Amino acid sequence: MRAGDDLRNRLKVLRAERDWSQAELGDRLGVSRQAVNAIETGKYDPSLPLAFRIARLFDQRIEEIFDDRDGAGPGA
Amino acid sequence: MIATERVPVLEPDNLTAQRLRRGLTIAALGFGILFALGMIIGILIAHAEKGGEMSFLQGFILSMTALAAAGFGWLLIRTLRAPPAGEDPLTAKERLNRNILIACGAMGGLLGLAMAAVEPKQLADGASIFSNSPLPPAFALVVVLLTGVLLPAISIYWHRHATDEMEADAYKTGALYALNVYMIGAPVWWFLWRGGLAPAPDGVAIYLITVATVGVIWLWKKYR
Repeated sequence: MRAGDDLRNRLKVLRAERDWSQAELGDRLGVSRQAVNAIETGKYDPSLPLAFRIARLFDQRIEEIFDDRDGAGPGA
Repeated sequence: MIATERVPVLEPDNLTAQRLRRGLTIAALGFGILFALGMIIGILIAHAEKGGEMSFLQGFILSMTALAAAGFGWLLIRTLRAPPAGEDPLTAKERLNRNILIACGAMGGLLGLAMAAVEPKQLADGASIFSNSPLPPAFALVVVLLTGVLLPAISIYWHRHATDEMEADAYKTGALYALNVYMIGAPVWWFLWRGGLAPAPDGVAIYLITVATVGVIWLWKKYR
């Protein structure tokens, strides 16, 4: 998947709330630390299956974690 | 509205220095291994050209150099296994990925040594990799089995078990660039040759450029 310029996410915040390292999160999601870091810093957009895994892991909806609109929330 | 943020990756100076030291150590050990292997090959070539029995001194130097290469190799593996300063341990996928790459590198090194032993004259001329000289059929068969059967099997296993979707994406992007380099570069070189403006196209050179393109783009996409 091509990295988008506008997709923002709360992955780092959610990870920090649970005091997980990138490696711990990577192991839970079945990806590398580089992938976690790239998603957190917006250099890589996850696939839909991985986005669902992330959402289920944090017990949230995908759009509560990822946002493709600059400064706009869901339904805005 | 949900809270979103872009978090810059910032590293304290001491961490950067430690990582730089680690990188330099890896590079130095790599060069040490190459240097030691070069010495071993040089001694073997000199002995093959001279003929006769190997002197005690030659044997001693050869043994010590081999020991040094093994020591450098062991240190390199130890350094690579330890996570860089300030970084988490590797994930399970990353460990498998690293181990497969080390195994492939070792296999490539052994293959290179075997090629050097079979073609000492070409290696001495510094052109072994571009050599088209005949090989013993049994040796050629072993190389074909390694590269045509074992390597694809390892590659399939690597893609299925050791990579994640980001690495697969990086690899695919590298492959796309490489295909374009090949599709455009090869005919350009061919027409330049036909126009008398360049030497004849070299299949090995084209292959290496294509593979190098995949590697550079893949690593850039993965670690940028």
